[in-house]
Amino acid sequence: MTGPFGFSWGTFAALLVVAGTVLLAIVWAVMTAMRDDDTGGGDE
Amino acid sequence: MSNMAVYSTVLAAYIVVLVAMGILMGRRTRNAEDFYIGGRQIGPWVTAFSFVAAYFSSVVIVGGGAFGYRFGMSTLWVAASNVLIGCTLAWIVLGRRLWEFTKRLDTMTIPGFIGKRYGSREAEVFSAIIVFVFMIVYNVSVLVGMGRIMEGLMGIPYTTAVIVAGLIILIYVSIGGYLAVVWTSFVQAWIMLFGLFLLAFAALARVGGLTAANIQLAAIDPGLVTTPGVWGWSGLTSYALIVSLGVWGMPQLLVRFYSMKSTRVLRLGVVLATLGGAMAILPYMTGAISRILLPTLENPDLAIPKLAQLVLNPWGGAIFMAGVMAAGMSTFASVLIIVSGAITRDLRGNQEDRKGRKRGPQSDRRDVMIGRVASLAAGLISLVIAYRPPGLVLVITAFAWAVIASACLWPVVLGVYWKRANGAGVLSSMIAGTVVALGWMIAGKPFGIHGFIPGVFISLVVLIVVSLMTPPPDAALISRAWGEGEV
Repeated sequence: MTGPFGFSWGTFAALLVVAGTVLLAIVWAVMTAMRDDDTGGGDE
Repeated sequence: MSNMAVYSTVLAAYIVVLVAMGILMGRRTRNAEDFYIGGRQIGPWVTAFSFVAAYFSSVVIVGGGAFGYRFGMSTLWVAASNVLIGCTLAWIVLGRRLWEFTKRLDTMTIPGFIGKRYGSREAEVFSAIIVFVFMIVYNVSVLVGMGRIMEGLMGIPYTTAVIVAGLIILIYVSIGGYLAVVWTSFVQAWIMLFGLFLLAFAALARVGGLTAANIQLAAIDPGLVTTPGVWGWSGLTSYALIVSLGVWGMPQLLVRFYSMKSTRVLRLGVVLATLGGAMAILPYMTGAISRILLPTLENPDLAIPKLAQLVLNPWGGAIFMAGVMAAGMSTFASVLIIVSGAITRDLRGNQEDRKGRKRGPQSDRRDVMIGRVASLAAGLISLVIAYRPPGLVLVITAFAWAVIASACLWPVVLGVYWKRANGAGVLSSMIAGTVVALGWMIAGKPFGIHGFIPGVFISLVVLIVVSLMTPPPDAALISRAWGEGEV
């Protein structure tokens, strides 16, 4: 059974991992910024 | 305008920009900290994109395309591991801690960090020797790859291509130091991105889109669109791990973390590095598509250069070639500055401290001059070897990355996360990791597993066991490294 764009689902999952990683980076960046604001962190 | 004239015009413009940037950055380089880590003043955009440019060399682009050609779309998992483990997690796990530790320990190289964190001059010298020897070998592979591509795309002799590319890099690195490396890498990352997108879109248009590409690949061999497909799990996972987890022990990439101007750089930087790293998808996917358009290639390494000739017009081909050169040059330059640091900072030792002399403008100028001469010497050594590479060197290039990562990965990671890790543990771990990685590859990769996997596993086990069996590190040293007691 094929997934989107003719990929097998097992291969298409690799593209989902890439998209998920971008999301992870954004969430981490936002959470780090919020934590630094709370603690006065983010050394200069 | 002939094809050769178009290629030469684009190449000349590209070289002028690089040399101008080298001269410009040379004026901003006043002391050793400027020369080796840009005075710890690099912002998020330059840090992130120079990281990506140093990560993906021309060998990755051409070699990635060759893997795509041979194994099909399952190679997209290698790209996924590049993005997740090699970019995002490396930034999240190591970025802040390496910045803080290297600042507290006042060091600007990875061997220097290992020496000061573990209080072991032996560990520092051993890691510096590994970095010096295998980074030069790695650089030879980058130069050879770049020379072969220029030969294939432009038809200029290999030796001319190697000398031209090598000398240009030597000029801007020895003049501008790390600042020239990161700023040229920043520009080069965008040229790489543009070139790769250009080739991918042209190739997709030629085969009728992504869905049509997958259908045509499945018709050639169903294993070209499934995972692990024709590659098999052991080959796919060990290769994916070495080119992603290996990053965590590679000095030319880790230096990006401690050259940042503050840990705030990490917030935007991690997002940018992840987005830039996602371009790893393109060479693998494009290589797979080339299997449809060039089904009878005898050498898969030619998949990307031949595809570029087939689907791009001369201007597009010239831009793509500049992109491939950019990938090679940015990696070569990044490695050069690391080798220079290994010679002048780690193997030579800190001369000023030993003789108790006060620092001043004169010693700053001398440090920069020594750095320039060392980077020039390291580059010339690489250039001479790459000019006519002996067979043995070409064999070793296949596992230079694996040996460096096996030796340095755990000493760096545990060095910033585990207080109990000590000098005896780290020295034993580096020796064991190096010997096992090398031995495994010389034995012909038993079970189809790359030497990096057993090398890095043994290195971890030895570091933990030997550290626990020997006395803990000096409490004052740990307090300093962890910043305990700081106001």
